[in-house]
Amino acid sequence: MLSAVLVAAAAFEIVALAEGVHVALVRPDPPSYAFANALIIEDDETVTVVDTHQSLEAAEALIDEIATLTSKPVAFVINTHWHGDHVYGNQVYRDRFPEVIFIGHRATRAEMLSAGAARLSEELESLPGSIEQRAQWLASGIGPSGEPLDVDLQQRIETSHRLRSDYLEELRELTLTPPTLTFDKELTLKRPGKTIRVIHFGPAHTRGDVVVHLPDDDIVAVGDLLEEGAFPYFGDAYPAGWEKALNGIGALRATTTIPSHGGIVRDPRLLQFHFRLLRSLRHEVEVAILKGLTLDQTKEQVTLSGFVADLPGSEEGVRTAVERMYLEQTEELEP
Amino acid sequence: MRRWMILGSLLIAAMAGAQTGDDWDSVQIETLPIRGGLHMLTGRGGNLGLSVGADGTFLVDDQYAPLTDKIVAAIEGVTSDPVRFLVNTHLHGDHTGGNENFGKRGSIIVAHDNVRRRMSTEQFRTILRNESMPASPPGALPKITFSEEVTFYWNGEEIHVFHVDPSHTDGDSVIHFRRADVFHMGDTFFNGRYPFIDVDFGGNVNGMISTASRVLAMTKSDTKIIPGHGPLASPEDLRAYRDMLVGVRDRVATMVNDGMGIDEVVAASPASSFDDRFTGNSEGFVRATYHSLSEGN
Ligand SMILES: [Zn+2]
Ligand SMILES: [Zn+2]
Repeated sequence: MLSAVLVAAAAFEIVALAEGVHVALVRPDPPSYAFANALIIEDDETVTVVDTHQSLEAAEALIDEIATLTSKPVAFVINTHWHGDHVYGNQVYRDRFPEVIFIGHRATRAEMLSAGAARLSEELESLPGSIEQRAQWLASGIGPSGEPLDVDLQQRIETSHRLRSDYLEELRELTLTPPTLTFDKELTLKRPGKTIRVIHFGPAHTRGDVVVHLPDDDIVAVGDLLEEGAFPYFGDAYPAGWEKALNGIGALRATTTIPSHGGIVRDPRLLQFHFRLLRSLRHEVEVAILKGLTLDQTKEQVTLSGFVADLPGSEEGVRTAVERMYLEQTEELEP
Repeated sequence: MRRWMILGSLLIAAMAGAQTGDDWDSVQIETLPIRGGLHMLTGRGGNLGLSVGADGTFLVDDQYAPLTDKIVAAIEGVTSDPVRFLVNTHLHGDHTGGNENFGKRGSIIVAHDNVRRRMSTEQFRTILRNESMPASPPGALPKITFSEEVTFYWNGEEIHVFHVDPSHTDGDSVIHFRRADVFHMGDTFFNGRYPFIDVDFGGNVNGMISTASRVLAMTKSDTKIIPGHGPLASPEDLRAYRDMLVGVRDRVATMVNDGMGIDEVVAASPASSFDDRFTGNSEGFVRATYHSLSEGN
């Protein structure tokens, strides 16, 4: 376990953003199940952490890192939304800081207890098979597409096998720990020496996204409302609402933006990219609906080719995005 | 008559944030168990709501600063856990006077944004009377504030704290302990008494009616309601209160439409038909109703 935590510690890099504010940036390498950046906000008495990693070991490792920054306890954890890479580590904070308060939008709690619980069961069901398959590839020396394994591919499969096996072990220990303090619209934590605003701009990437705004430091953590380096995930999204939420983020005019996936953002290009993407998505899907196209026809026609250039996951991502926008605009998404 | 004098002086003390030269020693804090770990505490000032259980003590309102020790002693009669969260239903001193003391003991104070905003700076009254209320010390200010609502999953309860239309003030919250089905309505509800509508601080009779109706629509026959002032209430008590508000509001509205001045309206005693069931300052209520209806619309 200890060595696993050390490995997990290498999964992110702590960067100072302002007095008492750090971000734990997930490193792409070595690969890990940390997945999402975390914001660490220290006030005169306590620490507030935004998002808790997918992996319990990463959460443990981050808490150890925080202990090297300050001896103050973590009093608040804010979850930007219900996806596992933002909330699975919550239970570690509860174990280490029994008094900790988990803050999230009310839909985040509701979704964790329904869709989140369902997704966790799916993961528990599907992971053993995928681990077994990797073991077979390694044992037979024949890769996924029937090719003999070269050194590089063998290493990658070994890493994936190990990560998935560790992760499965963790999942078996996982107790979904939803927010204990929920809200709608806006919540403000007036901490001694720090003001922390938690704002919900309506359904967007999920039904319950919040951004965490530090007005005195001009920093905003935006969860998955902005994503760097990959096509944004639309599987649970309300794309038209997402476009509106971007207006809310823009209006904050923060000089430093922390997306959960990607690096520190200090210029408006990432926001502009999402604006253009969501506007084009809405526009093209609206045109398709006006033409009377079915969902399947729309998914074939709307390819957003200008936006998918090098982004991993775009092909499937665009189809999901088009589907969610189509359903939202034809009022088939439950609000 | 005597009751409304007492209530009137309390409200003035509350509004001015003043400690009257009263004899605090004589005040006794009574604890009334309701159900599901919930209690109503009474002393002097607004009624308190108390939730105890595995997660920690949760308190609604805290009366006056000189009563904190007595309130703490009363809570210790129920639980040994200190108050972890303290919700203010609104900013008046008979509900928030103990904030600084509880804050020092480690309680986290929670209230609507407007409670903190108004408590942070000196406030002035110019409509009902001319006076000012000094800013509260930083330690007395709410530390978690919200714009619409918050819910605490706490002590096995779902404690839903929601901001309502401007009623008693523009920072009112109602608290619903959903499992036990107990409400704390703060001063949006005076049980058996005419309400105080603090129009200087954003209160409005129409909001008071909509809040009473909104909560009434959420009640079942067995729902218990802690009013800001007055004894523990039933939905029937709230209904009678709401109907009284509507009756007086409609009469005053007609008089306003007829062009009557405020003193003429008061002289016409539009609340008198409710005097058999409601005590308190009906004149103040009628005046505030007049201001609610004749301003800003
Ligand atoms: Zn996500
Ligand atoms: Zn009161």
